Amino acid sequence: MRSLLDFYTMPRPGGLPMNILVYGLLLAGCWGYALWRGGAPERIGATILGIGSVLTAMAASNVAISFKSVETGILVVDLAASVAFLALALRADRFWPLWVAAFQILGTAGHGVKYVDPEVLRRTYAFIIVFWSYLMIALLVIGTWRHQQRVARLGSDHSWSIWKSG
Amino acid sequence: MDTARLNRLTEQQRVCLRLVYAHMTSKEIAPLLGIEPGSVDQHIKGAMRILDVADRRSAAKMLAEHEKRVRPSPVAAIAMHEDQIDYDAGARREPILPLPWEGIRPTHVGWRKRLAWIAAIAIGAALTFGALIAAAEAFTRPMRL
Repeated sequence: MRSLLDFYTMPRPGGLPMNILVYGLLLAGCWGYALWRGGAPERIGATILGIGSVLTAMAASNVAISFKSVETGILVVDLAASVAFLALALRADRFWPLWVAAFQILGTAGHGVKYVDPEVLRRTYAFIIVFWSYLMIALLVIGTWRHQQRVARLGSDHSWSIWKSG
Repeated sequence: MDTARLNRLTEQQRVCLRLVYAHMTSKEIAPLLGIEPGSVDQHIKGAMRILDVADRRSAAKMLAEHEKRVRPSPVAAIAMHEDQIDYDAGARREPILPLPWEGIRPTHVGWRKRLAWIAAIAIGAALTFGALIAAAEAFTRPMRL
């Protein structure tokens, strides 16, 4: 029996699988909106997400064997993105990067599941890695929208927090 | 008439007064204009003498109101706006949850609390995610032994 996830990820004749198409469109839309309308944290977040997604696609092994074992290339990209989002979350005068950093760290931890138990189905492994990216796109859009609302209401919006280290 | 006095202000004095009106101190104004804080004070004192007022806020206000009448400048417009709203009200209140509740801002939250928040979100999300997967599993294979 075909599940929704099957339908979403199966290769389509003469085109990209639905999941790549949908994620690509969502990412492009969110990326453009955040760069066009966001403050500094939104633009940096969109850049990390955009570069991370493109690098993930490049680092993934060939479709025939992808996600059958731990995807080391994707793991490295995920680790780098975790560090970047963590730095953003500590400094930005925003709440959304805290959530994005947490989700990115969870996605990265997903590789650990496959490492600990190689029996995990490749589709399940791919799902627990990729799932969080959709949430991150949604958060970035909400963050950019709320930034715009503050600009409209207050005339400007602080980008960075002013807490002293230590 | 005040207009005659206001017209005698130099451009440098006007720039300083506009920034004073935007609630900036001499130390904050100096780097923007590339001059020493002492020079900023001199410009402002000169302007106060010309306008015959005792403090810089009054001088700044006189110029702002004059400029609003003549031609609303963007700086004066922003400054007027800032007078009416409490810009940092959200930043002064201590957030408990990492949520923008009632316009609250994380401006003064240090890195320890932020890391704790990130950990709490990650744990909460992982538990929710796990529960959803377990529920889906239970519903799709009810009779598995």
